[in-house]
Amino acid sequence: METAIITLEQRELENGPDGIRVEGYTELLTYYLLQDELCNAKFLWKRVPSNMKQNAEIDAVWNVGKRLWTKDMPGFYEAASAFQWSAPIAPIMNQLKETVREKTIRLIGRAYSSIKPQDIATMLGITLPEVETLVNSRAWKVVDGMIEPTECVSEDVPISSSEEQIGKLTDYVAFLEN
Amino acid sequence: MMLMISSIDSYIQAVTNVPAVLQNKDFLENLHPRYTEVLSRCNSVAGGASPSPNTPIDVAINTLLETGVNNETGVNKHTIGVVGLLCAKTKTNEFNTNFESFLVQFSGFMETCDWAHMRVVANVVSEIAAAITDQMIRRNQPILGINLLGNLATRLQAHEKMLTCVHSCVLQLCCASYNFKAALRFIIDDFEEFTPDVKGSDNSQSLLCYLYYSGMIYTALKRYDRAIYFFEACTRVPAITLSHIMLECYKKHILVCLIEHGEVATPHKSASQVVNRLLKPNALAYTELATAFNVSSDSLSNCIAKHVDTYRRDQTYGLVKQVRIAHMRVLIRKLTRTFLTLSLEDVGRRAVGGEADNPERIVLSMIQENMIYAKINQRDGMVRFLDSIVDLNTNHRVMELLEAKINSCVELNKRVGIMNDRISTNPEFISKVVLDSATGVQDGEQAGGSGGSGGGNQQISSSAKFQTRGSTSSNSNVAGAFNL
Repeated sequence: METAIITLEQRELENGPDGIRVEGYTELLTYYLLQDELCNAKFLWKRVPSNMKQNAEIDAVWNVGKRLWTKDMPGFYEAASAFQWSAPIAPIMNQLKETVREKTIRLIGRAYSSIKPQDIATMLGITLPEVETLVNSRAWKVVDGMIEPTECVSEDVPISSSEEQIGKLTDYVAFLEN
Repeated sequence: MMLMISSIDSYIQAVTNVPAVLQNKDFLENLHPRYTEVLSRCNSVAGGASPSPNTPIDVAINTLLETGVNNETGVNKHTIGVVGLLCAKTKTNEFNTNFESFLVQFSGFMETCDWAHMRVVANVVSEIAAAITDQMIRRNQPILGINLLGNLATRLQAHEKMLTCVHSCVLQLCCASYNFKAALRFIIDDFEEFTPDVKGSDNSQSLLCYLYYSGMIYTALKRYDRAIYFFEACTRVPAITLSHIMLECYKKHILVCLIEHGEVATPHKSASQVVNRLLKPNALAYTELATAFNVSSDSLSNCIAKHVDTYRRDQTYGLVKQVRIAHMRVLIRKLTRTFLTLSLEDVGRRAVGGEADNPERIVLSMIQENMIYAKINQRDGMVRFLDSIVDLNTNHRVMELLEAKINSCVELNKRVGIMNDRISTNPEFISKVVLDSATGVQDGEQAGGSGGSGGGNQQISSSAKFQTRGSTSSNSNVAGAFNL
């Protein structure tokens, strides 16, 4: 993904809007959204020439971006599902939907000690039966019709060896002593 | 030596006759104080009636390019001469119409020029860069200039911590084209040195612009901590008069500080006195905003309403609106220090001030951005504020952050050490120190009224030597250099 972004950015820098063309802009915009680079996405939209903004797909992508900017979750899922994405955009968009959903699930775990099932459904853009499956898969408790989510433990903690840590400490002490 | 050229031919003769090593930064001015005007006038007189594709200046450039190139190294020894001609070309009337061909010519020249010489005449190079920037923006194609001038800026640097005038041109192009991501590469964190043109006579305008653009770019990307750094640096540039760029920076510094920290730090004591005295009365709408921010949300609203026209005129209204949101967040943050649990209704009443926005949403987005640590309980509509979940043993992010900070401090210390060594071994600096201490001792001797004619001198010089050694004895390099 990184290389794809750099290639597209270079194409724009070398030949301007004519070099990257509207397809390239659409792809780059979707990548920025996926990377959670909302500011870059916003300014990309600002610099797209107005005749290219007529293109239905780039307009639809930015519509999705706007919802992310305002943190309008139901609107986001609606906008992301409403458009028939073309072949290059569809996989990125699906990935985007998944990333956003996963992030929201983590946020719910972090921010709520109890929450209505309906609210989870709106925040994730899913139906109530789907909420039930989610609750079961995450082993969240249900008490009196309210869901009590638990925090997701962040995995992938790289544990550095104690030798490495001692090495770093030695460096710091050596620096302070001199 | 003043040669006073009068035509393009005499210019070529002068450039080719003086060996490249003797061409210093004033070489072109010495040919004629206004050599660009002379050359561009020659161009239009001769070009006159039949505008051929190759104007006299083009012919001259081609001659110099051909005769100057060293076949072995591929480097042009007439670099300075060509730079002068190219600069003259940006002043001609045909510059507008032949802009594309000029760009081709310029980027071609960049392949063979001698970068050490380019640095010598950096002021002329930056004049060319400014002309290109101006033309690109006029043509509404600023994005096309980023690569060319970015390339120029990077190659003009002697090392990567060197700031050139071209840097501010590149940032200007990036701002004009809304391409802020591309600009980040050209923002140097702590530059150590500038090319001589940066601190030129025009009130260090390009340095101020560079800092202002950097601050604006980081503000646009919502990286406010970095933006604060650049805006503050701009208000600290030594100056004897107030620059408008500085004033704008000061205004934005206040706004961005309020958004990021909820308070404005007092100006640093290194900021120049004159500037500090002048900045405040000129940015009244903003200093009042900062005061109102600390009083209440009502006074903040009143202040915004009072100065709304100023903000709109300054094009800072967007930031002012963000200040208002930041105020709400600061209030919520204060609540976390007082209460353990609080109902969402109370949060709404105390912080949001009856505004339409849902307090739950605001608290949620603050949790999302790690501004507060809290749990919302929808069953009884309460928020429970927690201590920050930072646990030094388990949270490797904190460790990473700490390590990064320590490393950057170590790095900075090293760099300052190197700079210190470099300055203290600089012959100019040493001779100044020697001179100062020598006169200092002499004054002392005279005041004491002691010392005969011969023996006194002996004494002076030896004590001068001693003083110099004493004052810099911490640095062995200096002592070594001094013995030489």
